[in-house]
Amino acid sequence: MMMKTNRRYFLSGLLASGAVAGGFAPKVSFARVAGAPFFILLNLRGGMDGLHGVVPVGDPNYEPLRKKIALRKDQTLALDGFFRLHPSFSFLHQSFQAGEARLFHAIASPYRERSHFDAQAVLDNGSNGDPDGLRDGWLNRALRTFPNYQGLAVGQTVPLILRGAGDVTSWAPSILPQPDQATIERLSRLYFGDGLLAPALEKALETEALTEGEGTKNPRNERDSGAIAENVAALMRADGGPNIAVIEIERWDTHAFQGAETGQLATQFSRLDELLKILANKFSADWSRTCIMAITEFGRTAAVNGNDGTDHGTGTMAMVLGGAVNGGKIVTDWPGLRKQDLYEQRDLRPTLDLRALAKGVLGDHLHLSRKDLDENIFPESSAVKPLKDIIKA
Amino acid sequence: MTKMAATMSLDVSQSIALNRFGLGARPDSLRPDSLRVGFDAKQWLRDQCRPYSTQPLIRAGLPASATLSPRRKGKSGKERRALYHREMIARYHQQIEAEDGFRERMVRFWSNHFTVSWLPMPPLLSLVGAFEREAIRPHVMGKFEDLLLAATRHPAMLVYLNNRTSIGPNARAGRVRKKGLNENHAREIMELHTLGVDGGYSQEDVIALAKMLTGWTTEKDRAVFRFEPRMHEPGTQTFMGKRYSQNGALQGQAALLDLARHPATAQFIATKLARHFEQDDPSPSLVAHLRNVFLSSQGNLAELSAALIEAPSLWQPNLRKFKTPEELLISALRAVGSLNKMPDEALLQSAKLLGQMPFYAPSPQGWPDRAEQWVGPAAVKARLDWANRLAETIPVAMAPSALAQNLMGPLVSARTIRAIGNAENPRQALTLLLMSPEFQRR
Repeated sequence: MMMKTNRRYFLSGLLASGAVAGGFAPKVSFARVAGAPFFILLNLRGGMDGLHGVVPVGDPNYEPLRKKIALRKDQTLALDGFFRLHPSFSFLHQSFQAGEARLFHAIASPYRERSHFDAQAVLDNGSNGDPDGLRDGWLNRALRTFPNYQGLAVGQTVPLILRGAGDVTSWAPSILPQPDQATIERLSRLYFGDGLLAPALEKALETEALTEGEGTKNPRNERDSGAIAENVAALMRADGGPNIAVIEIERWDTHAFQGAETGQLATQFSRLDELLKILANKFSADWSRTCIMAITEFGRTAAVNGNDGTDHGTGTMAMVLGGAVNGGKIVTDWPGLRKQDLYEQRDLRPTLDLRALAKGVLGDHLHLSRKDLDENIFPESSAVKPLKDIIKA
Repeated sequence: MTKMAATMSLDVSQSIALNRFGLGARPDSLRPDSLRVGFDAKQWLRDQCRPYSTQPLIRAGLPASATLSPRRKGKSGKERRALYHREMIARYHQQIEAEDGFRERMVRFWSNHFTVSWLPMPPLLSLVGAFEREAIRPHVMGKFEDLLLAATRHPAMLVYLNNRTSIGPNARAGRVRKKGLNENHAREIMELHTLGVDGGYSQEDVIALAKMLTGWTTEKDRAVFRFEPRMHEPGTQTFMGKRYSQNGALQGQAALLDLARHPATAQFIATKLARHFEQDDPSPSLVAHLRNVFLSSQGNLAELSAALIEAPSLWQPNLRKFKTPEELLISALRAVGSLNKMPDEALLQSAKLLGQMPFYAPSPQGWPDRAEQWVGPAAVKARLDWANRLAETIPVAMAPSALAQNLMGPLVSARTIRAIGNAENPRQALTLLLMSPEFQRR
């Protein structure tokens, strides 16, 4: 946002002309399976407050716990008699009613402390609760069971969940002029044998080549959901494009003044809802083989804190949406919100393991075997049974 | 200096001192005499292990945080952005022109350790520059406990981690205003600033520290630390197995002091320093050595810096650290020789394009310090686009292959020199230099 002025010189003329693509078209030496399922994972970084999204208005302890930030029944959208949805989620609500979105509550990864960074590591590495247990991500392990699936990280870098030996690329808009082909070729030669730089450059060129047909849009900023969704769709739907993507969304760490019907968290929900809506629109031609899943590293305290916000907690919500999804249901074993029901008397007690959800989706959407899921994708997790019926038969 | 000496190459130690410990070599015509051919690399670094005699940036005319507001009120968004811009430009100039690159690297290291980020809070734009100047710079060669206290008390941190509005449940203001505790700052002090996540604290300890820090706030309209007794949770707290019965601000201060001296803190800081200077997964022997120096010197950061200089593993010629975007930006601008060739506004644009805007870290954990977190395909391509643009817009006096040798000495391979020398034109040559495997690392 501060970049609006004084673009002359370094960036002169580049933005006005919309110049993005260059003349360099590397060979696309692979072909992804036509008709492969699309899977898009939205990673909500910072700990999303599930009690604020799928609201247990039927629980008598909800309002006393949440006080000023509690949502009233008439402010929310109907789901069932007990749970209602935050009003910012209008598209999600519509999808739920159309049977294309399934919600999960009181869910958490196996991590039980309250550090963002360790919680994110566990969410990403798919370990049995150990942030340092595995150095690659579960989605990378999943995609590399297929000979020609590719993962896409939206943004410059690759998050842990996608890192590993499997085929992964990343994409971010480039507003600078492209280097000439000779320079790129010479640099590629110079990188020969460099384990870090050679594969990174090669993947980047491969992915940029995918966008040459339809072209991509430069987001106005990192919160520009529309442009992000369009770019993801353009890349994934291109011939030979990746079929698995991870989009990270920041700013869920609402320690202060999170708001209720409107406010900080409501704005975040709107942004997420907008992203879902545009993704649905852009993938409409392939909707029946598309599944979008949104998860977060942990929930927040059941009670409002001293600053009309919430502190780090445990159980939270998750969602799955798409044409492939068997929706219209809320899956939960509701633990209740009395003091003695809460985890360590403070957080929504998790009664559902996030890995059960992920295994259900990977098993039925990507057709991974139970053995792979139990031993390889999520090691030491055979006791965690995949959730059934998330994906349409 | 004879003309011949001016084109003579650095030796291995000099190259390591300038590029790994410092912020990057400058062409030797721009080096001060103490850094020219023949300088004693270790002595040059040792000379930097002392506090600044005069604070840099003092002449830049930047406002003290006491003249700013800790709240959204006071300045418009536009004014805050303009101030951030001025602060960051002054900071880039300081770091691109610095002769004491090692000490400046330490400023960057500690500033990242005690991250404040305006990402979730645009009002912090006006305070982040002052935070580094006021809380970090004076202490980077001082004592860790002073640094911890200064960073914790600084209005930018109190705002960023919500302690400014945290109120003890039984404090006078808590009972009246029905407000209460915010545990964010207390948790991050232990997890990120001192003990580390495995440092042996519990949720009860988080709450106890949060209570002890209640009342650590700012004045209403001025970004100045203030202890407010009406917000402070009264009474003794038990924290990490010890009772703290001090009154007022002394209670939190005593807890911070104990945290600063805790063995887990020594271990955590030693690991981060070793990761920054040696390799992403540092050798246990270096970590253990730094930990012992931290403990025996009671967190003396000058001694800790000196210990780094004496560590043999940091003088091995293999380049094991992949530069972060800002390290690349600063070292590249040092390498091309004159900052004046790049207009000020392009500095922040560059940082943004490369994916590392200053004081815009995604979380209180700060910017990552491992290659895998920076070397994504799109990130490398962004570096290439940027280097290519830089090479196109900024003419360099020296032939790029001579420049490469001049900057990196024996650490640049014959193959890279050949590739640069064989380039089709000076722009391509400079792009290849800046993007070379050796220049991307340190």
